[in-house]
This record gives sequence, structure tokens and C-alpha cells, in this order.
Amino acid sequence: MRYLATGRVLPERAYVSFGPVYWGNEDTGRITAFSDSGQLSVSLDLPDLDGYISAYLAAEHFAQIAVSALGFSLGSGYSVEIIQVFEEDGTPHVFGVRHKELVYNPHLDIFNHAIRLASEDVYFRLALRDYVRAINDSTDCATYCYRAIEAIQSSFTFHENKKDG
Amino acid sequence: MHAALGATRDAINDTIKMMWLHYSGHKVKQLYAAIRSLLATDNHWLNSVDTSRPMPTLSDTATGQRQDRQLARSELQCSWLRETS
Repeated sequence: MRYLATGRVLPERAYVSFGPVYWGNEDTGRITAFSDSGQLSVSLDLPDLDGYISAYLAAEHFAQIAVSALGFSLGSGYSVEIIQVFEEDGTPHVFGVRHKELVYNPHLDIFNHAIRLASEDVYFRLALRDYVRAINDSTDCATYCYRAIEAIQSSFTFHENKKDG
Repeated sequence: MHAALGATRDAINDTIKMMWLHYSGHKVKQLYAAIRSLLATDNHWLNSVDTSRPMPTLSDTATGQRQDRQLARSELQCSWLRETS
């Protein structure tokens, strides 16, 4: 199946340009990535792709290879955001940042409590930051979640030590 | 959804509750034990990458106006791609 993914190389104001960069061959299929002034395009022609979500993940993965290598060579903290994927027939899929299952309804009380606790407790602040990053990062989701829970554990340990000390 | 996200959400929510509902010492210890067990090495999600996790789509989160704008930009990119390839 063929897909076209588009997105940004962040920060957009860096106007990052590279490529086109090619991976694969006639047997395995072909991926092409390039960026023009931060506007990223990844073309995927892979027989194994089983849907637009796989295409999204593959596009992000391969774009990240090029962007990380460029960032390394320039000493710059570039990152990738894939925003949408087009199927072969032109059907678009635009990706967002919210999982319905994770939403609190109503959310205002949770927001107020979280912001106050994060203001008081540095470990809880780090936990929230890692959790929000985990939502968007499919590759490092488990790692960010681990860090978030570890930060909460550190908060407990810190308060226990303060009591004991 | 990745199992880790649900577990982390619950852990953060429990911590918020602990602070605002002023949990007793016993309940705090229980929560601390639960947090520590989440970090145990036999937890299957610690080293997992769930590539089948459905990603959220913008129709869940944003207005049609924004989606239209994104699509318009993409069509520009697509036409540029066709011209240069």
C-alpha cells in the first residue's frame, strides 16, 4: 500500500530542509523523506503496511532517523511531528493528541488540583510532564510512563525522608 | 491504548486524591506500595512498545475549521511533491 504522510520538523521557525532521503529497494518497498523549510513529507510504498496507523508510525520512525542525524550533525534539538496521513485513494487522516479514554469529565477539578499540586511538588510536576509526553510518543510511551510513576515514588520517598530526618 | 498510560493516569489521580482528601497514614502506605509494585521489573508494559495502539485523530480534538486548514496545507504540499518528483 502507498501512503503519504505530512508534518513538521520542529521547531518550525528553524526552517529545516533536507533530502530527499531514500530507504529500501524494489523488493522491500521504498520510503522517501524530505523537508522543505520545516514542512516534512514522507512517502511510503511498502507492501507490509496494514493501515494508516502503521503508516503513521513508520513515517514518524523514518523521519526521525533523518531529523535526528541532522540534529546531531548541527548540534540542534530538532524533533518530528507527523500530522496527517493520506491513503492511496486520497482519504486523509489528521492526527490529534487526545485519547478519549484518558479524559476526566468534568476536567476542571482535576485541572485545579493538578496545577496546585504540581506547583508545590517538583516530583509531581515531573510526573505530569512525562505522562503528557507519553500520550503522544508511541515509541517511548512505556518509558515515559515508567518515569512518571518513578517520579511519584520519589515524591513519597522525599516526604518520608523529610519526616524521618 | 497502551496499558502503561492507564496505569500512570491512575497513579497520578491517586496521588492527587491522597493530597486533597488527606489520606490516613495507612492509606498512604498502601498507595506507596502500589506505586512501587508498578515499577517492578515483571510488569509487562515496562519494556513494551505497542505499535498497534490507535492514535487519536484530530476529529476527536479540534474544530472542522482547523482540520480544513491542515488539509489545505497538505494539498499544497502534495501538489508541490508531484511537481518536483
